[in-house]
Amino acid sequence: MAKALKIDLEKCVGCRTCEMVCSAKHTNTINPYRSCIKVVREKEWEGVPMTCAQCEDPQCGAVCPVKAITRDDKMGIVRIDFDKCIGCRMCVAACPFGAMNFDAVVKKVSKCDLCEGDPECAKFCFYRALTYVDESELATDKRRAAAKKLSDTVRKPAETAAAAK
Amino acid sequence: MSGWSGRILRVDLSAKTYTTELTAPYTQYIGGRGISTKILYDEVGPDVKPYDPENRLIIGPGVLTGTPAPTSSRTTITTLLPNGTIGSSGFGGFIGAEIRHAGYDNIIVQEKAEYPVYLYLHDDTVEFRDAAKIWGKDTIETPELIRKELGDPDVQVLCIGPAGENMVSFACVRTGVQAASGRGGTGAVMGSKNLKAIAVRGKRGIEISNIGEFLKVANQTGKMLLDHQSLQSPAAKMSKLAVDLNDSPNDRGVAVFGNWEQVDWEEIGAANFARGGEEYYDKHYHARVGCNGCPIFRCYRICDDPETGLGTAKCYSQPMFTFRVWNRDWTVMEAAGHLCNNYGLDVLSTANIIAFLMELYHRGIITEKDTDGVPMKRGDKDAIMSTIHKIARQEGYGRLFRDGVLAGARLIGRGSEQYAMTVKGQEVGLHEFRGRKGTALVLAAGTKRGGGEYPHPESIWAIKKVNKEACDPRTYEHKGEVVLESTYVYMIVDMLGICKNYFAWAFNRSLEFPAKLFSLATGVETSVEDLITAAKKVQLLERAFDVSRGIRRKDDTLPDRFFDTPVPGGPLKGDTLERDKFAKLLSEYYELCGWDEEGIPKKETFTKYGLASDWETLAKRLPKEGAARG
Repeated sequence: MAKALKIDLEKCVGCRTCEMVCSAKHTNTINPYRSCIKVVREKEWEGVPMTCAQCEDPQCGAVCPVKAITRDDKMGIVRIDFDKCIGCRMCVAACPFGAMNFDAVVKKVSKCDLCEGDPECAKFCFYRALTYVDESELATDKRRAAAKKLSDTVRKPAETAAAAK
Repeated sequence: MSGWSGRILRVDLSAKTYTTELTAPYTQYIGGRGISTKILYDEVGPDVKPYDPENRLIIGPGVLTGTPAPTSSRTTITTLLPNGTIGSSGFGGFIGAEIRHAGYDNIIVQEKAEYPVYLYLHDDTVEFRDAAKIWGKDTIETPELIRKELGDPDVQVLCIGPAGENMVSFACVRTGVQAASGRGGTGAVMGSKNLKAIAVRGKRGIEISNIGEFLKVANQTGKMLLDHQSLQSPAAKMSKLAVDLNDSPNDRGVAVFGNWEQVDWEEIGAANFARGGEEYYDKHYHARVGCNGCPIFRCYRICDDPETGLGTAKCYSQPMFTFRVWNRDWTVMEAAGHLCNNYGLDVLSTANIIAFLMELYHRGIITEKDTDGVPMKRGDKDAIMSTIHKIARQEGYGRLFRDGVLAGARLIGRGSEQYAMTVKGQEVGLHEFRGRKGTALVLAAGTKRGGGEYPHPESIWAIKKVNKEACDPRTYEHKGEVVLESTYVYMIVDMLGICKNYFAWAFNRSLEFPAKLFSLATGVETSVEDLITAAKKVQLLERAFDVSRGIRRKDDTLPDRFFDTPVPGGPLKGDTLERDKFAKLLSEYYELCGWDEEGIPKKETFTKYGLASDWETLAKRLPKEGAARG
């Protein structure tokens, strides 16, 4: 089954390590400016890592006039075929998340390719805000946290009441 | 070049020009503080005064700063400090990485702008921008206003507050909500140049020689850090728990009450002096913030203080604005810490002055008439807050202390000089130096100003269990060796741009991993010994700089109080520094450093490290003496 990059906003502290390692992997230089993942920071202590969602029905692919963008459903990766890409940047305009970048150094669009199944950012995210998980597990942690909250509200008062009797 | 950016930026504020120079001739000094020191040594002669346009403000991110090497966010500012000595003051945050990503190793700022300006570094250019609108703003507002003006929220900003603008001799340079180049008065030098801020946006990036291996080792290092036992508890990672002051500094005998005053620890309730942190954080905790690329828990706690708004009172604020100023109220501590940060004042020097005023008031040397009607009662909130406001704004009695506590004492007179606790004209921070001989030696003769920089040199050996006697902070045995070893290690840390906590917690202060990462980044195979040799060269140049400005053995000492009155209480009770033993220790240290009995580096020490031309520079400068303050 395909895996996906899970982003847990509450855990992101905005340390920007993901940007550094992403650019290292993709451009061979450490340059957050050219990174595929970007940590948008409203405040210095609040980060929102923004990267390609690897959409099932990618808008970038839909607008591409030469059909250079396709999705590999087995791996869950939306890829760009640079042999076909004409550099028109329609995909940059179409992406609803601003996750399609234009790399001004190599004059090509760039986006997250999940490091072809071994994302460097997830390996380096020591805060576990970025993890690489099975697609079906994306909501598991959230569900468990909600379940615990529910259980605490419903069961705990009942137990306390029982103990009082 | 790999590892290094290869370029050093030189900005002339008067001519409004900038040039870039090659880093290559300086690589024997590794980077950051090392390269900055060599440049300052070459370019600032003994005739230059701290606030002269000819003084240089050199910003030096380390070689690993801005890379994924864990904790590598550090930067230093090296300059001729207001007290007349060289100083390198370090800080974290995000600006160092941004400077490296902009493609610079070091930034030299020289001359003086005609009117207040700020620099905007982007796309290989430097803009000199009018700072009229932000002059007078505090260090929290300034970056926000600059980002708004430039229309780029990703710009990182290094700035001074009103204290730096007013050239208060212990003003700091700040970046972000959390970090400060605190000790020494770098902010005053920046203010003297009419330079309000430096804004940076980096797009150039850093080349790494062996990127694959570098990432592998960096990742492994990060994991080692997180597995370390000191970081295991969930509380250590993200919690809002307060450091319990009473359980750590007090028990270890680090706590200093007031101005190192003679007090009965039982009577003042020393064991239970400053509680109340947890209650405060329950109410006002906002978030934690840390530095670029750091996997360790975020070191700074942001609180939404009812009086001063969002801010951080970092580790030193806690002892300085509690024990040192007799304050038991956590709310006052936080507010005072925030206020100092906002104004851009060094917390340690400011609290030193407040403690000094409180001692004078307590002794009846001054009354409220001397301090604009505010009685300097021990622990009094108004006394603390009004002193901070007045110093930063240079109003009323705050003007007495523009050049520090000793200058203030001289203006007050009435024999108050003896209560001004300074070393080479700079306010002593905290720590109980009397019971800690190694720490006392660092403060007296070390080249990095502050005394808070490496407070426990013994710990470097305590871990390795080399020698029991040497590890006991209370003895004089082997303290010269211990101090030197820790000096070199911390100097290398500054040259590479990694955080000291990295060593304290994870690697038992071993330099193996940093050396490996440095080698992989630069492609220059470098051993731990090579790094230590570089540190020795830098230490030599720092000392030669000070010596060229008249610093001698007589200046490598501590306030008389540390020799004459013993520690009043706590685990180190009764300890004191003995003059003859301390003098012997100083000689031992000079000998190990390769300096003569007066503390002047010997010619053969220079030649041993291939620095003969630097000796010639020193020899030419030597006859001129007495430039240092204090």
